[in-house]
Amino acid sequence: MGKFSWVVLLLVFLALPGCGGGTSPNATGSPAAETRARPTRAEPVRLIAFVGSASKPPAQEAKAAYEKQNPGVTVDMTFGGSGTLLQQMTLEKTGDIYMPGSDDYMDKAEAKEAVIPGTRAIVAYLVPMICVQKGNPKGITGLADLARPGLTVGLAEAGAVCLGDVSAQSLENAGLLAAVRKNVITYARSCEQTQQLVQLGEVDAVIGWDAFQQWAPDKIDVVPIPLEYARPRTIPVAISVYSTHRGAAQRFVDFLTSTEGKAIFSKHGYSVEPPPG
Amino acid sequence: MAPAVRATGRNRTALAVATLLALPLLIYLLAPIIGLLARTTPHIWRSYACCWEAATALKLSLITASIALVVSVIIGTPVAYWLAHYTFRGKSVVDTVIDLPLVLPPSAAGFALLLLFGSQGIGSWLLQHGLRISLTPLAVVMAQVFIASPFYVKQARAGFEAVPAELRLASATLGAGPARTFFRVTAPLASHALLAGAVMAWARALGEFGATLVFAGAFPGRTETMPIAIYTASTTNLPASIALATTLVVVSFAVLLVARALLERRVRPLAGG
Repeated sequence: MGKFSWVVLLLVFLALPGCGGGTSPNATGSPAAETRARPTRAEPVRLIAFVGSASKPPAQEAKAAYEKQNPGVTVDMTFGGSGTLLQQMTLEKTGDIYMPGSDDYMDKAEAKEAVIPGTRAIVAYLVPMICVQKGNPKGITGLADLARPGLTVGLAEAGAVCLGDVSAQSLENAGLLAAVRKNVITYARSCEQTQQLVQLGEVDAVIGWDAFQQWAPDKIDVVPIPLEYARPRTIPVAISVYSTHRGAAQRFVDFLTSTEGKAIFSKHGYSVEPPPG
Repeated sequence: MAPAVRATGRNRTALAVATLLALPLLIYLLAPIIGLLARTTPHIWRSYACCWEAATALKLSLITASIALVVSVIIGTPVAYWLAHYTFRGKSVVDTVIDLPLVLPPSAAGFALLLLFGSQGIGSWLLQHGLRISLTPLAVVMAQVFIASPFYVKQARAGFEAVPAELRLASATLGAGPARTFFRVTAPLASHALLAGAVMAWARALGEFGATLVFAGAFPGRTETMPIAIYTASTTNLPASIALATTLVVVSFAVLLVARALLERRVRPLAGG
């Protein structure tokens, strides 16, 4: 027993020095300590942001750029499903910024009074598209093709995922819902799952967001859906009611929605301007 | 000579049959891992897994899982010993309590921990005294202990139960106190089971995802362990996620293999003597 414990401890210590370098900037001080600290201009400010996991790559880049321009400001980000994040934020009464993956979660956050009214801003737009295998081997040109016999289609589940409601609405607007449902072999429970269905070749097509293509550029091609059928949604951001650094939080939100912030999201495949029409 | 040869022949046949029967599960367990490895070309690995982020997540995972293991051993051994050597009313209830984390979906466990140790529970009192548990590395370790410690306790208990009572009695008769009997007789004899349990618990802690994500969040560098990094990467970047998963598999496989080899060599003389 004794010897065994020593080996484990040894393992821990072997790993420790290397870890110090990586984690020490964040490891010092718990989020609580920061949120309770009075925000004065000279004191370092630490913001906590709850960010939908699909936005992780651009969000981290934006964080790095912002921290570089604003010494003394740290933006700590945690990632996950938008619903889980909202739960964590409201249960823990902590956090400065909420940035879910789609606007329906922001509606929920507003209904729960978890974000400050009037602070909601749009970071990027999510434009519904038909996502197909790279090279479009099935020759899909529009929604009507999804009803073609023999084609396999995946949809996000309406009622469970924002994308599901959008897909169902677009198909209904096009008068194709019943016909396409015959080809649907699976309903996905998240946007990411929907994207993976087509990326892994499980289905011929899904209705997804334009950004899906950028997540797997060598696996996915997109076919536009006419805007009269599909209403674009947004990636919103707002300041949490639990924020103790409202000024600093607002400045970071302003950065996200600035030309520079939008350029970062654009680089990662997101539409940052409302689609024409 | 002849009977011996026949016996060996029979043994060989038995071995062949046993191996054949063992193969389906082994192949089923190995095939997805091999598929994962096959998809991780050196190019993919270099472009996604050798970055700072992956190294940080891996280190965080190894450290937290090891601390979780030490904690599980320290607080789990008494429970295992107690269950193995004493009968009392409500023992089956205690037994079932140990099983609870095994049946509870990890994310539900995460919410349970969050509600108890977060601002809704005793966390608010701790917060007033300057200690935050939820959404910190401490929460990572606590989630891992909650999920992984039953694996250690169950094995350790079986190990303690297998130690003959006469040996403990003999030790006591020879004048050894309970502590000395435990450390010189019971623990060494049960060492194989304790080890097996420790390995299981460490592995389970290393792979812990759901409870950690909910209770500790996914702050890169602080609470984003390897399984969480694999998950967040998978949402937008599947190759990165696969490369991270391969890294975790290779590293944990190596650590487990080395740990087993090292510890068994140290334990055998003890157990044998």
